[in-house]
This record gives sequence, structure tokens and C-alpha cells, in this order.
Amino acid sequence: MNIWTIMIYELRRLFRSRSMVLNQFLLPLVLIFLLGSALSGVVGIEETLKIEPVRVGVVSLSEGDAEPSNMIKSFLDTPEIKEIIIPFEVNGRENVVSGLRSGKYGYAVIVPPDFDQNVLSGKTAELEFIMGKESSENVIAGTVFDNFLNRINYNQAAAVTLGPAVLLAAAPSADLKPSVMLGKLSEEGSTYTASQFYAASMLLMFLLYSGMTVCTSLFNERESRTLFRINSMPVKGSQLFIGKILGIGLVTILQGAVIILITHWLFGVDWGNRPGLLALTCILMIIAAMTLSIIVAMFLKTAASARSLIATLTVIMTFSSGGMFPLPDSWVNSVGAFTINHWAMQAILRMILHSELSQIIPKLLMLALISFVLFLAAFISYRKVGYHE
Amino acid sequence: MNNILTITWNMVKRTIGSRKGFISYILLPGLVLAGLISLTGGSTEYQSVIMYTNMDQGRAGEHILSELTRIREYKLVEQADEAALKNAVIEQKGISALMIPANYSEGLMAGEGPQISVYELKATEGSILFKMKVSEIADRLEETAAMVGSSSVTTEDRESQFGAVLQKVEEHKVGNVRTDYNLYSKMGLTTITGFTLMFLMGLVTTSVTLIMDDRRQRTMLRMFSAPVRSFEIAIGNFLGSFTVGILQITAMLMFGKWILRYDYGLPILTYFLILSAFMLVSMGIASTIAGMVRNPNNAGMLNMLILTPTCMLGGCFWPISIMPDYMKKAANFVPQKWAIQAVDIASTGGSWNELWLPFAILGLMAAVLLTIGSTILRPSEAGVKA
Repeated sequence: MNIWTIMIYELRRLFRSRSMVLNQFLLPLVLIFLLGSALSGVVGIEETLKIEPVRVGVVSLSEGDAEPSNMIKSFLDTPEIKEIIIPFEVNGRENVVSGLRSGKYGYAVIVPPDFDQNVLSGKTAELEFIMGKESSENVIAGTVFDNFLNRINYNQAAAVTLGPAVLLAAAPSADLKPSVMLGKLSEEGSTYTASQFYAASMLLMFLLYSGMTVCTSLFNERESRTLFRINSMPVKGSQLFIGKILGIGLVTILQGAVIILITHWLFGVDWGNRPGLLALTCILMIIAAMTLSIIVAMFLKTAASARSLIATLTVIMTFSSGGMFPLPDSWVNSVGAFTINHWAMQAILRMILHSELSQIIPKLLMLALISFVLFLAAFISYRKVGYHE
Repeated sequence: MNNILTITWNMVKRTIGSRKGFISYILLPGLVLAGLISLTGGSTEYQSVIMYTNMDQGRAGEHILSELTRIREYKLVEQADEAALKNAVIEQKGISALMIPANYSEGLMAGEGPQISVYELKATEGSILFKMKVSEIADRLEETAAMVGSSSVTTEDRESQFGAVLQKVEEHKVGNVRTDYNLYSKMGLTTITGFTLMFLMGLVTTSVTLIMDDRRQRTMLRMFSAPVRSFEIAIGNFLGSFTVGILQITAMLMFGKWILRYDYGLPILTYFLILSAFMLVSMGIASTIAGMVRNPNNAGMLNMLILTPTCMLGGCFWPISIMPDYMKKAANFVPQKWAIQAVDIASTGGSWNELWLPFAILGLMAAVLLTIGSTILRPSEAGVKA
């Protein structure tokens, strides 16, 4: 009965705190929205990405009366290329390099004297590219000119082997369908996007953060001297403790549910076909987060240090399981495997992708094992240290 | 003046004077950052892992793989079949995966337009570029197949001709030479700067929390009963946390520069100045929040509410250039963006002619926020809810 009263009071107190509501419910949604819309250009349709044209300095090293390369000229004259590349004819290598340094040009191409001739006669022909100041412009211009040379290379090879006539004979094939498609990772043909990946990683991060609430609640009572007063009442220490943890646990479960449902309704995140298992994963994750922060709270002296340790642990675990930046693959699978997030993430990803049960269960078992060990450790440390003044 | 210095000195001593304080505020940040540097920027010759399964028996599949092997940034790893390939992608064993279907070459020769599948778990810059490279090769293969088809008659003839053309292609007679004067900023630098900024903002929050504690425990009021003025306490507190911040930045930079020997690619003094300017802004943010929310616990939480979204918006996690237009505009209001831009300008050899703008904006932000936030540094308002 006492447990019940304490839990209700804890819930009431949590919901009255505006910053708690903001942090636990609004922040995750804001973050998922930001992630989803910031990366939408990359994830979704590529047409929405507007490419800024790159200013390219072109130097022809042809000596005397020799004609500058016609191939390059006609290539730069095609309408599609004109949208991406703005060519400037520059005299001499030094001028183009100084233009690059000052940012006048984003990229430079140096055409050797007999480029066209060498290509046509099947000899070696190379263009020199000089990279500019902007990494993104280097990538764009580099890709455009690479593809240009690539095409010439294939054509040259074809012309040399099959005779030059083929180049005229082959009509540009009417494009039936793109030659490369994005494969479906899922089993049952449901679509999968990067926003789902980030939604899952953010959900886990916030479930872990809920441990901070545990620390705040446990330490608050001590710091405002109310724990002393409660101890003078007919309430056992364990009842108080369990009541508090239950209250926070309930809020966190609600938080998880809100994140999942709202991302589903507002942003159309598909959380897979196994709601029961998804809930189980979240609950295991919550148990792990709570028990971890109980252990931390037992052994640290001040609320501030406990909170900052939990925050650091959360960020480090989310980070090393690959939930924030793309990390080197070796890292994700070695160091990442020691984080709680890794296993929960793998389980949820497989649910989202509609994988078979046999692929999900091992990950869940591992997560359950981690939660169990943490639970035991929390239990033992509570028995050792206790919760009193 | 003396009073100010005393308060400043005591503030510094209190934060990092003890062994524990020194370890957690100076040593640990430096180590964490050093770890990050060695992870992302340490090795310049980093290869992205690409997994593949080649079900094609013919020449085309082989050709695609040989062309991809030529690209230095990729390390190709074979997977037994499609299921293993998908599984490896889900387990994040590589940035992208490639699946060449069975009878790909035959399909090409017959002009059926067969499709290669590319798998990715999350879209990244690397995976997008990879997809573009593969489609470029595949498009050329389709054209080549069409050319071969137009010139030869029998099927066997076609196959051998096709092989011969690809053989010739692989000689790469037409190619390019890339000259690199290192004009662009290094790949890892933005990530490192982004993480440093995020980290710095979190650290500054802790030192502002210390001032908040002073208010809550009425230490500030007791200080006020001594012969010091209100503004002296305010300036002293401000200078104290500022000094701690400067020491933290110095420690971080030194760890990177002298212990890891990481080349930041820009003058270390400029980097230091940029980080200091950013630290001032985050002090402003932290104290403004602290002034608005009187309960220190909530203030800490609210800071998180500000920290992570602004870092995302400001380009700490991914380049701003990939975001949609309205978000690029919103990014202008975020200090992280200007700090990263300043680092970008400085690392590409920009002079103060270009650098003044981000610095001016950072300075302005700091001035406005610190003015608003200065209330928490002063003892006169004691209204703190415990």
C-alpha cells in the first residue's frame, strides 16, 4: 500500500514538472523530426536536392595554332552539364592555381596538347584535375569529369576493338529503367528508410536517459532533507525505493509508447510487425537503464556527478553503437557490442525489417541477460548501501 | 579589482583545484577528445567496407568488381549469398552492399536491362556516392553491350567481343591525374570540430551549474555580506568559469596536437580563438537558461533540450549542405554553424578578411546572451526555488 502511495506521488510530481515533460516527450520528437527532415534530401527523392553549379577553370595546354580540345568543348556545351559546371577558359597553369587558392574557381581541369588525337588513335590520354577549396564541389566536379572520361574510355575501347563505326551505329539506348536499384532489406517488401534507423536509435537513447530521472528523484529527497522525514514515518526504506522506481518506470514506459506512436502517426515511421516484441525490447531496455542508474546513484555522492555520469554513459553508448554518426564498421562490431544499445538496436531493426523470429530472439536473449545482470547488481548494491540518510 | 581576482581565483581553484576536479574537468575531456580524434581522423587512409555477392557467371559482373577494386576508398568483402549479404548490412558490417544478379551478363547482351541491387542501412554520403559510381559503370556496360550487339551477329561472337572490349576498358588508357594542393578542409576535421563543440557546450553547462549551486545554497548571499559589490561577484564568477573553459580548451588542443600528433590543418591559435568564442556563446546560453529556470536540476535538463537539436541543426553531425533549404536558413541562428564555418575558412587558408564575419556573429551572440544571462551571476536576486 505504501509503495502505491509513493508511486502515485512520484508520478504526480513528475508530471507537474514542466521541464520533465518537455525533455521526456517533446525533445525526442523534435530530434526525430530534425533527423528525418535534415536527411530527407539524402534519403528520399534525389530530385529535391538542388546542386549549386561549380566554377571550373579549364586550361588548354595546346601550343601554337593547335585547336583546343573539341571533345571537352562539346561536353561542356551539353545542356545538362551547363547546369552543374560553369567553365572558364584560363591561360596557363599558374593562373588557374592562384584562382583556386583565392576561391575564384572551385575546380580546375588541365587539358594536355593532343588530348583528342590521343583518344581517337587509341593512345593513352590523361586529363589533370586540381582539387579546389570546397570538399562538396570537389566531389561534384570530380564525379562529372570522371564520368566524362569514363565514357570516353569505354568508347575508345569499343572503337579500338570493334572499329570506329560502332560509335555512330549505336543509338543511345532509350532508358528503360535505372541500371541500379536500391534493394529491399526487409523480408516482406515493406519499405525501409533511414528515418526509421534514427527513430530507433533516438528511442533507445531516450529510454537510457530516463536513468537521469531516477538519480534526480533519489538525490532530491536526500538533498532537501525530506528523506529524513519520510524515514520517520512507518514506511520501510525498500517500499519508498520500489515505489519511486515504479513511478519513474511507468513514466518511461509511457514515454516510449508516445515516441513510438507519435512517430508512427506524424512521421510515418513503420515500427515493424511485432508490437509485442517491440514492447518487450523497450521494457528490457528500461529495466537496464533504471538498474544501471540505481547502481550509479548508490555509489556516487552528489546528484550532479551521478547525472553527468549517466549522461556521459548514454551518449557514449549511443555513439559507439553507431546511432549518431556513421562510424568505422570495425568499431561498431567490436566496441559497439559492449553497449546495451547495440543489442536492442539490432533487435528493433530486425523487427522493422520484418525478419524472422529466429533472427530476433538471440538479440533479445542477450538484452535480457544484460538486464538481468544489471538487475542483480542493482539489487546487491541496494542491499549493501541502502537508501537512507 | 582585487576582489574580482580573488573571486575568479577561488572559482578556478574550487572547480579544478582538487585532484578529482582536475581529472574530471581537464584530463577526462582531453582524453575523450583524443579518443575521438584517433577514431575518426587519425588514419587518413581509411577504407569504407563494401560487401558484395556476385551471382553472375559472365564477364560483366567480374568487370564491375574489378572497376570497383580500382577505387582506393573501397575495400570489397565477399558474402556467400543474398541472405548473408542482407544480414551483414543490418549488422553494419559495411557502408553499402552490392548484389549482382545471376545471368547479368546474358541480360545485358540481350538488351533486357538487368538491374543491380544496392543495399544500405542508412543513407550516408559514402553510400550515396557508391551508388552513383555503380550506376555509372552499369550504364556504360549497357551501352557497350548495345554497341557490341550492333556490330556482331552470332551469340558466341558477341560474348567474345564484349569480353575483348571490357579487357580494353580495364587498361584505362583514358584517365585522369589528380593534383591535390590540400586546399580543401580535411574530411575528419568537421566531425572532430562538431564533437568538440558539443562536448564544450556540455562542459560549460557544468560550470554554470556550479554558480547556480552557489545561489541555491545561499553562498552568494554570504559573499555579498562581505565588502564586495554585486558587479564584482558577477564579473568574478564570469571570469572564473571563463578561465576554466580556456584551460579545458587548451588541454583538449594539447592532447590532440602533441600527444596524438594530429594535424588540425589550421593554425592552432586560430582554432583556439574559434573555440573560445564559441565557449563564450555557450556560457551565455547556459546562464540565460539558468536565469529563466530557477531549479538547477531543471536547468541542466533544459540545457540538453537546447544542446542536441542545435548541434544537429548547426552541422555538428552532418554537413549543412545536405539539409533542405529552410533548415539551412534556420542553421544561421545556431552558433555551432558559425564556429564550424570559421574552422572551415581557417583550414582552407582563409585570412581575417573572411574570418571576421563568423567571429563577429559569435561575438554578438555572446554579448546578447551574456547580458540576458548575467542576472544569475549576481547575488541581488535570491529567488531560488529549492
